[in-house]
Amino acid sequence: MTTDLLMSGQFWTFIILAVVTLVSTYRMVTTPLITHAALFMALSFTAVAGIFLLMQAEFIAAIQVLVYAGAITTMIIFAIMLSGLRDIKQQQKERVKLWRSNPAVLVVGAVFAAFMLYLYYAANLPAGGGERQVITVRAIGTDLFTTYVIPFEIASVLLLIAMIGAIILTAKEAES
Amino acid sequence: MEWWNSLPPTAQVWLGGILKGSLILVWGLLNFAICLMLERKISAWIQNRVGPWRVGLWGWIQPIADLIKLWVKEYIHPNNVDKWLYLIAPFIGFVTANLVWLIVPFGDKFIATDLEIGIIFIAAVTGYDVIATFMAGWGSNNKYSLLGAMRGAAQLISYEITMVMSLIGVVMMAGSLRLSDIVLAQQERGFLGWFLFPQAIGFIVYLIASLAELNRAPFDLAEAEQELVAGHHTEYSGMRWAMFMLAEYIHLAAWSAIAATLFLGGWSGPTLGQVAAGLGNVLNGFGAFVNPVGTAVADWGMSIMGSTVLNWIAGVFWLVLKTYFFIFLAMWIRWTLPRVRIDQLMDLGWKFLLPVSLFNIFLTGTLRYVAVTFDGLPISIGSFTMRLLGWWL
Repeated sequence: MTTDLLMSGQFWTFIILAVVTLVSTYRMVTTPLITHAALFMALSFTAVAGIFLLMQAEFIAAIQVLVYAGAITTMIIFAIMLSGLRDIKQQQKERVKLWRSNPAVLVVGAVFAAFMLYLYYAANLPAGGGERQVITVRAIGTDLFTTYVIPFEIASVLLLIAMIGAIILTAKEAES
Repeated sequence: MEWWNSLPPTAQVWLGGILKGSLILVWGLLNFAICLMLERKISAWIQNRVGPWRVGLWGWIQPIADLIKLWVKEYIHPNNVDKWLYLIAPFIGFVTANLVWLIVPFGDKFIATDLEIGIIFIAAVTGYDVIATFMAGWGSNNKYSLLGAMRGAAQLISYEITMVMSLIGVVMMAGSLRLSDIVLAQQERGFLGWFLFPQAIGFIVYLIASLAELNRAPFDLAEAEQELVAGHHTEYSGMRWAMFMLAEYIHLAAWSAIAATLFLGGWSGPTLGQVAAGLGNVLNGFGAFVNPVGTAVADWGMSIMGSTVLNWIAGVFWLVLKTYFFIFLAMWIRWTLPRVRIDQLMDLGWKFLLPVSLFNIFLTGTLRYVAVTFDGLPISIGSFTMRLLGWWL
């Protein structure tokens, strides 16, 4: 069993993707340049899309790339460019403060990790090894427009409201 | 094929993938060389010049000479560039340009990867173009590059939405996102079944939006020579600059192939066997005076009609023909129309093309509903008029 796992390309592909995701996420937080942070974020989104592809969830992978690596990254890049906030100012003198905030980071991290582990073990995950069912776009569409039509419509109305709100806010700013 | 079947499945998957990828890469480079030469020849023709003439017959080997020159050129690396972004950016653009070719069907089951999510895949891959443009512009540490990159990114995201919306009509008619299904859906009524006719609005919107996506004139604001030197690739030289050019032309060919697949029936067209059979039929006078020559030609046509390889060759032929029709159109537009302003570009995209493409979705949906409700009626206005013409003639 273990030798099979070590020999399988799937396993090593997963390891590579996972390492890329973790390293790029870490670099996103620690990098001094905010544009680099945005690009590292795009890289981590892409690696996550690769993990979705590994699970044969083509649609989810494509949406992950389209929405996160494409739209959201571009949005963040525009925000950086328009705000003139190019460098994260390194607060050399306030190193002491960092030491004080480190325990807080650890506590928050531990709580989050515990929560995720709880979710993982409490979730009723389907047993592996069986014939994997590939979910088609058609099935997703049918479900969206029959079973989940009300949440779907509510989500679209919410987005519409957000869009109109954004337009009104910027229009007021442009007038003044 | 036996040694292939004897390989373990994992090896088959990996080897097959590498082989397909390499073929697509070679195909992309081939298209690049032809497009580059076509561009120079067509621009010369439109401007009453001769164009490249020295290397090879009528100058047709010029792109190879150009590539060798760029290959041996010194890599100039300006100080104070953002090193990694500067170095990686050209390759990201190049890879995404090639990825689009992966899902273009060249024939019946003759396709690198027949993704179920075809059209979403195209839209998703295009997202990386924005990132590549931005990386090049930001990494170069040059104000012209950054301005060009910002223009390019704004233009790409605006027109990507419009482009995807213009394709929804096609998806609604075919009932699938898979490109091979879309081609098959167009084969029902011969060349009248092409989505060009019922989806005329979507087709025109797609043409304009894809020109903008490709950063080609009249929408080449990101690299407007008179204003921004060369936009996001101002600071590049040698093979890295060539990577941007490669990406641009491979993208042009890929978008044209997608347009041909979605609106002009892709690889569908008469195969050699069908042509021979038809020719034999004509020689026989449609059965009026059967002669041995006609019968022989018709029999030969019938015998090779089922040949997979010949049908694939015919598919590639028709696809390439249709693709190069679009490439020629793009070049013709580039060398005849002046550049638009950035505000005109944004107005055109958001205030005109997007509402029009949304209206197209509404129209297609309504007509499909009508067609389903009143079964037997034609599916849309385009084919409706075609049918009227048919009855009338």
